[in-house]
Amino acid sequence: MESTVSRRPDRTLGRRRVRRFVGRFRGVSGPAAMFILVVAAVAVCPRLVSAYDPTLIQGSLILAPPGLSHPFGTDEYGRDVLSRVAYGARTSLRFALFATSISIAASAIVGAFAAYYGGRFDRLVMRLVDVLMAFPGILLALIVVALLGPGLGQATIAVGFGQAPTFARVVRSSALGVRHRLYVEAAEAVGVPGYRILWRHLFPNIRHTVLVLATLGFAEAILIGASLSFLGLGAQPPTPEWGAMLGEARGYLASAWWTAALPGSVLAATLLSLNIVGDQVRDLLDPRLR
Amino acid sequence: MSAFLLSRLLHGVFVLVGVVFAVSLMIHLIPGDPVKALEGDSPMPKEQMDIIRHQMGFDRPLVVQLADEMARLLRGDLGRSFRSNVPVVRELQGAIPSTLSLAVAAMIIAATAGGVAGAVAAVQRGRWLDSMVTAFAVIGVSMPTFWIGILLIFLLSVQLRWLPTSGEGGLRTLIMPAITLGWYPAGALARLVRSEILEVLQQEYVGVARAKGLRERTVLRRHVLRNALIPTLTLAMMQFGILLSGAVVAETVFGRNGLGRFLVEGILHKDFPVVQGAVLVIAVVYTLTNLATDLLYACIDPRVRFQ
Repeated sequence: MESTVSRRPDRTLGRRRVRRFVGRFRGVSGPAAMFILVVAAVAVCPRLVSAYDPTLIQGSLILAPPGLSHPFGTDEYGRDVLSRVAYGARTSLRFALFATSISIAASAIVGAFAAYYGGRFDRLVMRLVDVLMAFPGILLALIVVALLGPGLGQATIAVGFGQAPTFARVVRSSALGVRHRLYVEAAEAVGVPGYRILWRHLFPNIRHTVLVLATLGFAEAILIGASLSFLGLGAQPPTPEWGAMLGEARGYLASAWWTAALPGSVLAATLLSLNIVGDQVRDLLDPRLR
Repeated sequence: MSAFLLSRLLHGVFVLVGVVFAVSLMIHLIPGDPVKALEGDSPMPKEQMDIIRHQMGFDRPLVVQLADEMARLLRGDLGRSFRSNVPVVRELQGAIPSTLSLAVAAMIIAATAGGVAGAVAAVQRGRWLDSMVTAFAVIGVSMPTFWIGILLIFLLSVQLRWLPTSGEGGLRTLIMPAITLGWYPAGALARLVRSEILEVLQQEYVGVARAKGLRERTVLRRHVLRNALIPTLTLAMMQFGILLSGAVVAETVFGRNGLGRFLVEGILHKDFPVVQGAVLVIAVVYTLTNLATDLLYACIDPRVRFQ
């Protein structure tokens, strides 16, 4: 029998659960989680590793190779690569945070409403999702950028919107599984209004799905954001951003490889770590999503 | 024709019409005045803007404009590029072969590498080769396309001087872009092939095949691989459509004048007919491959038809 009473979570139980959750990060997911924490710390406080202003142009230091004062060299404007990568962490993480918030909020609301109310609204939304999903991969984000114009803010909206259709479909199917549980029908029977059922009964029971989508979506948002910036459609100069840095470094691979080395490795390592941790979170919370 | 095929076909047609509608709606979704957006850096007098507005039909009711635009797109008339004044269709005809050869080459690489790696990993389950493949697959799906491209250029062009960094023409310029673009689907396919084979290995008919004394190789080839192939084929075909949009990045890295580069240039220069044309081609090809996948699936696996 499922419980029909919505209880407040037991605090001590929650803490024990968190400890068990963290304890299961074995193998490579431990170092991966550590790396994410380091990147997040640098994003919060870039001063930890950078000694320079990321946009400081130094004419005497153009494309200086790695050395004592600039351990990862300087770029074509004499800017310190390490400092730009450090501030780039802030750009990328903030970007991904906002973009995923948009996609998660939109898809959770639309998906849950469609599943709960069903009928014509559900059919309309799902047909719309079908059409939007006909624009594969990065294409939907590119369309939004084409409409709004290039820029970091526009790219945030673009990536958030681009992720939403797929997420909405997953949220909907997850909510449909909860829709006809006894506790929902019981709440309906005693006359609880729809919005309250959604809030108190539906959302709490699909929160694992949403959390898994958010972790995996976060990595994807960083990837697509960096891709857009690499194409010149996301972050605009002189904003430090990993994808944009690689786009600029592409022209200097033969003469100054160091301009690409650090931003590329850090971006790849961040995405790898996020995917490893994301897979782990999914396996722990919602193995059905595999 | 079975009900399944009919419903898939209808759905495909619906999505295609939806795509055409969405693409014709695009220019009307630009915030503000579309004519103002065309203005760019050189200001226009108001009379001139009114003339353009009238010429482009922006002063008509939205519904009329949309119907007109959809009819035009369905006739295959994609308008002219704002920048070059060349019909978009002709520009697309120049760009598509390049992207198509890139996508096919990438798919061949991905299917071969991913398929073999996944099969080896499944058969060698738990051994070091399996861990290697799994690690490789995770790295494959995590690496940004442009970073793989940059690493390849650095290794094969700058250091070893084996291949040209960019340009088009011949197999030599196709190798690096194809590996770059095929990297992600290779990782995704390796993962899927591995888990599919492991799942099929647990089926009863595999036990029966072994029990009747077939050699292990025959069991694998005749009973396991064939059954594991079906979902793999689905993913591979779906990945093909995604490759077309992934080509946007790969073509930029290697300076190829394909569909993706054409689209990005269109976005950067606010050349909306170009954007509409490129988006339409990619979405239609993607929808058609998805439809073809469903139909093919029903041909290969009779169980699907009766669902």
